[in-house]
Amino acid sequence: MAEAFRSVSAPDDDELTLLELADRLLNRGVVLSGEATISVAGVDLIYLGLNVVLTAVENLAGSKRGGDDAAAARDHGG
Amino acid sequence: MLLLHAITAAEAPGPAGATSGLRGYPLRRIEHGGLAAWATAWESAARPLDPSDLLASHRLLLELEDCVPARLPTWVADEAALATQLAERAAELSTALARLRGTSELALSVLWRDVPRAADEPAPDVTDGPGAGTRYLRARQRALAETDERRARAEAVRARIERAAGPRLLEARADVYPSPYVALRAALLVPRAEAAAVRARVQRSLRRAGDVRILVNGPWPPYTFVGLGREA
Repeated sequence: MAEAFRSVSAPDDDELTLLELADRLLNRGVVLSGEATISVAGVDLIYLGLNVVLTAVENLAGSKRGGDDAAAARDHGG
Repeated sequence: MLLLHAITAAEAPGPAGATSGLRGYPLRRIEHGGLAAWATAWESAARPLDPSDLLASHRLLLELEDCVPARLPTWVADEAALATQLAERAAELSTALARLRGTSELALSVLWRDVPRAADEPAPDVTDGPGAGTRYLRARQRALAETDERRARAEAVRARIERAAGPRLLEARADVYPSPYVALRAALLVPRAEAAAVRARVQRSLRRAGDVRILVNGPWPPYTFVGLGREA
């Protein structure tokens, strides 16, 4: 466990802002009969949701565009 | 296919600055029983959602102001299906809207300035040489003591923040010492009109804290306080 901790650095403010925002958008909010919508139009919706999470995490560090957007979200509420 | 963003009261004016949904797709408004659902008319062949869609969805919710945000991604087959779902949940959605009207969320992250020693030490090797087991147990004891001490400090930070937020704090949720780097993650529900003032007070409250730094985001839509998950 300690080895894993050493390999991870503390996130900077932009990364934290995006993580906090992603956590809220993906994990909070009202769920309207989620299971009933999973197979809509034959699209793999579980994949769509998972892709958001994975891509968001992959792009957090070192993403110039993400950094700018995070700063906007933090400083101007959007 | 519709990508649902939020529910508002039917009389709500809608997003002030947005005339389209995500990626320029049409923004649909489906009204039923005094409620309005706001959704993007999604093209099924579109590329998957990405982080820019997260941020665009967040901006749209900010424009809607008084709303119950939907968990992302919430897909609904069509307008008829969405109207049916509004009808099924009308009472609790209306209650949630009334409770959240005029409020915003402040998102707080409080990080330690120094990483806990226990998190920065190599794991003791219990198979290596005499007394290895004792060394292991002592290391575990130190780590647990440090965890307890940090948790107590994090609790004190939480109390200080809530005092600084003052009597206009409507509700608070906190996750104390969730990881070695983070002392506290918290969400404060405050009147939207006072969010900037509360934010400033909270930031000032930890200005002289030498052991932590604080990041306050918002005012954001009251994501954390919707309280209408699958369990609802």
